[in-house]
Amino acid sequence: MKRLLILLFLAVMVSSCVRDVVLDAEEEPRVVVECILSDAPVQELRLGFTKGASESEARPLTDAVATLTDLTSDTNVGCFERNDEGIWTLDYSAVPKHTYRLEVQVPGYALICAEDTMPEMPEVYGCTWFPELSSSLFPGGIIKTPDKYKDKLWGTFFSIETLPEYLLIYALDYNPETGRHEIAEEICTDLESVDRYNVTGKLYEPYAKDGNDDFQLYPMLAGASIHKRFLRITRTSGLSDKYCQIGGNFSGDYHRASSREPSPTEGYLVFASVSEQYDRYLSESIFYQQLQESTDITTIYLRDNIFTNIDGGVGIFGTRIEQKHIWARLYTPMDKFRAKE
Amino acid sequence: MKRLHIILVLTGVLMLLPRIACAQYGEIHDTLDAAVKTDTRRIAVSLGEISANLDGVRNVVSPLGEGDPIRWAQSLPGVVTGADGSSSFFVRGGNMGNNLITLDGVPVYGYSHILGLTTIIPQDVMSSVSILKGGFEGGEGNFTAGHLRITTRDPRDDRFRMSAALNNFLASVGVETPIGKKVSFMMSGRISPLALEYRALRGILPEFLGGFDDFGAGVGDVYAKLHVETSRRSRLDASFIGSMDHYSFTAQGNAHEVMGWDNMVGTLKYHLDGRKAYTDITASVNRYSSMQQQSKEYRGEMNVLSLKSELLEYMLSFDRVRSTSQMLKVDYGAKLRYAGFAPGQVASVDNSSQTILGTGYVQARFDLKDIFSMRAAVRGHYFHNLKDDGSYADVDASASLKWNILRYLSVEASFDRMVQYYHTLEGLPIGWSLDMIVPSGNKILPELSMQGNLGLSSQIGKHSMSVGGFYKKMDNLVYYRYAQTLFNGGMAGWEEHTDMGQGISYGAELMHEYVGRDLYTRVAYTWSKTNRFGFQSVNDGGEFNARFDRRHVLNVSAQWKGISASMTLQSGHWENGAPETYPMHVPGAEWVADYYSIINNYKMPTVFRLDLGYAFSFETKKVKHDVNVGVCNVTNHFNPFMLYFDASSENWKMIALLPIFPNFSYRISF
Repeated sequence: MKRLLILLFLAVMVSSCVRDVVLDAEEEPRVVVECILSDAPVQELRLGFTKGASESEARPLTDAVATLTDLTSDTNVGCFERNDEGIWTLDYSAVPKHTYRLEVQVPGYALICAEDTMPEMPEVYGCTWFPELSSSLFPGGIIKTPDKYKDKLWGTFFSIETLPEYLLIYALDYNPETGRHEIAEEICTDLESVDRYNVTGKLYEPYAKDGNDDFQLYPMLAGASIHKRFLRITRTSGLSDKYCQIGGNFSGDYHRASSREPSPTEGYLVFASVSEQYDRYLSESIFYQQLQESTDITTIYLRDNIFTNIDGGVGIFGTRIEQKHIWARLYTPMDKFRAKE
Repeated sequence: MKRLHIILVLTGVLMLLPRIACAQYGEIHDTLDAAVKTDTRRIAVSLGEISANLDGVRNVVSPLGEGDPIRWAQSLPGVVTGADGSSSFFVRGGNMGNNLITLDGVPVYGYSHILGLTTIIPQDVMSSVSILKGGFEGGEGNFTAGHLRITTRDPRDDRFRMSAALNNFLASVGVETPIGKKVSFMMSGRISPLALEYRALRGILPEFLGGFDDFGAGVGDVYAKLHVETSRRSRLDASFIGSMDHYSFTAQGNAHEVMGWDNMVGTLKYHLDGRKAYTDITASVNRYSSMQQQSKEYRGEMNVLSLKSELLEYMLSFDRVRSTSQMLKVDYGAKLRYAGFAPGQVASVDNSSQTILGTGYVQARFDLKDIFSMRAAVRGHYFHNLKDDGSYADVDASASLKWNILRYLSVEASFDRMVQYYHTLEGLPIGWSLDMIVPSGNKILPELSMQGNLGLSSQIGKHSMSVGGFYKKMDNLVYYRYAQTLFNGGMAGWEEHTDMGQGISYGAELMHEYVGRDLYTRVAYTWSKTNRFGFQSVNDGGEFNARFDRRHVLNVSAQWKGISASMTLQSGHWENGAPETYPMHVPGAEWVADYYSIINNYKMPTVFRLDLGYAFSFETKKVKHDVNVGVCNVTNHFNPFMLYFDASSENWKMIALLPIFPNFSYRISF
C-alpha cells in the first residue's frame, strides 16, 4: 500500500513537471501579400493573413482594395478583382523596365504597399543536337555547334545570348495525377558560374536507359553539383560560357519542339529574369526551406524571416519575365561517346 | 531533455530522501551552529540597500529546507526572479550578468549550485548578506545592476567545534578550531549524494526512470579560512572556496548530455586598524569554467553540440577608510585586475583574450546623526583589451542621501552612473544554461547604466515601511544574435555576431515589515516595466520586452514561532513565441513560411508558490539538533522553469522544477 501511494504521488508529480506548450503569442495577424508581375496577360495577387501557432487555419482575407500603378508612365493601371478561387486578378501585361507600385487597403490595417521594377527580357536559345547532324537549328537560323559539344552531345543545349541581372533556371514536370506542373527537385548544369547557394551535396550521375549502361542521359554532366530546384546565375558573377546543358531528375513528357509553346501536359524548362527583390525573396525562401527539411538541430534556434518588401505586411511584390524552353530526354550511346573522348 | 531527466530524478530523490538519508548518513555526529529562528529578524533597510544576518537568510523557505542568499534576495523589492526554482535574479531591469556577487569583496562568477537550487557558498561560514540596488559604495565597480555582497565570519577561536548537516540535496560537514593563541581555522565541505540517490531510486523504482538510462552527478564544494591575528591591530585572512557541478545522463533515444561548471577562488586579505582609519589589502585568484555538451538524434541524424568557456582573473586591491571628524569619513582605494577570457570554445576555435582593468576611487561620507546622512563616490576606470587593443577610460559616480524630515519619516534618494567591462552574452539559445562571459573590446563597448531613486522610509514601533520609485537607463547591452551559428564555429568571430542596444526600466517598490514578539511578517511588492531597444538585428532596432520584465512581483512571508510561510506571486516572464505561418508560392511549389514578429513576445504563465516550513530544535547531552521540515509549492501550481525542445516529437515543452514536494534539513552541532 505504501509503495502504491508513493507511485501514485510520483505519477501526479511527474505529470505536473512537464507540459506541452504551443508558444502562440496571439499577436494581431499580419497581412500576407504575394504578387509577381510578369508580361503575361493576367496578373495574379494572393492576399491572406498569417496564422497563429495554435490556429488550425488562417483567417481568410476577402475584404480588400488592391490597386496597381505604373510609376514610370505615371498611370493607374487598375484594381485587382477577387475571383471564386480567392485569387485577385488584373488583366494587364507588365512592361519591361517599368516600375510599379502595389497598394492594398485592408480594413483595420494601415496602408500596405510595395514597389518593384520589371526586369529585362532574357535572350536564351535552346537546341536539341544529334551528332549525326553537322549543325543545329536555332530559332534565329542555322548556327555552328559549340566545340565542347561537337560529336559528344545527344540532347539539348542552350545558348544564353543576353544574361539578365538575375537569371533563374528550373524545370517544371507535368504530374498527370494532380494535373499540375510541379518543380523538379534536382537540377544541374555544366556552367561553372552558377550560384552554389542551394547545392545539395550530391553529384549528377547519368541515368541509364532501362537499366542499360550502354545508353546514358547527359553523360557530359557526370559529376556536376546537384542544386535544389533552381539554378541561379547573376550578372555580377557573369557567364563562364554562354553554352550550357541542363540535367536533373525530370519526369514525364517534355516539350521538345522549339517552334511551338509547350502543350498543357508537357514539362518544360523555364529561364526567368527576375527583379533583385524577387531574387532575394526566392533565394531566402529556398534557403530556409532547405533548413526546415534538414537534420541539423540548430535550425530550431533560427528566428530569421524571409525577405519581404511589403511595407506593412509580409510576402513579396516581385517582377519577372520568363521564357519556356525545350528539353530532350535523349540517351547517349556510350560506345560512341567514349570513342569521341 | 537533459534537464527534464535531471528534474525527474531530483523529484524522485526528494520523495525518497528521508529513507535514503537514514541509510546513508545515520551515523554522522558532529556540530555546527544551528539554523535558529530568532526574534532578531528585522532586516536593515534603506531604499537602495537591504541587509540581513545569517538567521534572516536561513528563515527563507527553500527547496533545501533552509534559505540561502539568493532565495533571500529574490524575496525583496526591486529584485525579479528568473525562472522559478532557479538562482538567477534581475535587479531593476538589468540583465543577470549585470549583477555582481562578491564573497568578502571578491567576485564569484559561477555562484549557482545544484542546477540553481542554491549557491556555492555554505551558509555556515556566512556572517551577513546585503543587496545593493542603488547608491553603490565607492569600492564597488564593474557592474551596472545589483550587488549581492556576502561576508564570511571569522573562525571561532575558543574551542574545537564540529557540525554536520543534511538536507534534500546536500550533506555537509564543518570543523573549526583554534591553532595556538593567534591562529584559528575553519573548513566546510559539502557534497551532493545525487548519484547515490539516483542509484537507490533506480533500485527501488526502476519504472520511474523509464526514459532514463544513466545519470551521473558530481556536485560539491569546499570552503576553508585561516585567520591570523598578526598583531593587536592587524590580521591576515587566507580563504579558499572551490565548487564543482557536473552532470551527465543518457536518455533513451540516443540523447546524451554532459554539463558542468567549476569555481575556484583563493583570497588573501590583510587588515590593519589605525586610530582613525583602517586599511584592507586584498589579493585574489578567481577561476570560473563551464561546459555543456548535447548529443541528440534529430530526424535520424546525431547532432553533437558543445561549448565551453573559462574566465581566470587575478585581482589586487587596496582600500582605506579614514575618519577625519565625527561627521566625515573619507574612503579611497584602488583595484587592479588582470583577466583571461576564453568564451565559447568550440572544437579548435580559440577565442582567448586578456584584459587589464584598473580602478581608483574616492568616497566621502557625511553623517549628521539622526538628521541627515550623505555619501558620494567617484570612480575612475581604465580598461585595456590586450587582444584587440581596445581601450576605455571612464568615470562613474554614485551618491545617496537620507534626510529624516520627521522623527518617523525619512526621505531617501540616490543616483548612480555605472560602467561594466565584463559582459554576459544574452540571446543564447533556449535550453542552454551556460553563462558566456566576454570582455569589452574594440567592437564591444562597456555597458553603462544611469539610475535615480527616490522614496520614503518610516519606522513606527513594530512596523517599518519603505516606498520608492526608480528610473534606470541602460546602454550598450550586449546581445548575441546568431544563436544557430553558436555551435558551428560561429563563436570564432563572436564579436562580429553581437549587437548592442539600450534598455529602460522604471518602477515602484514597497516593503512593509512587522516584528512582534512571536510574529514576523514581511510584504514586498514591485511594479516595474523594463524594455529593450536599439538592437539593429532585433526588430530593426524597435522596442521589445526584456525577458524577465515581470510587471508585478509580490512576496509575502510570515513566521510565527517555528512556523514559516512564504508566498510569491509574479507575472510571467517572456520567451520567444512560435512563428506565425503563411503560405508562399514559388514556381511550381507551395510552401509554408515562418514569420517571427519579435523576440520575447510570448508571456509565460503567472508564477505562484506557497511554501510552508516548520523548524524545531532539541538538545541531547552536548549535541544540539536542529530540524527544518516543510513543503514547497503546497498548491502544486505549475511554475515553468524552462522550455526545451523535444527532438523526437519536434515540440516545445515547459518544465516545472518545483512541483509540490517536501523539504528537509537536519543539523547537529557540538
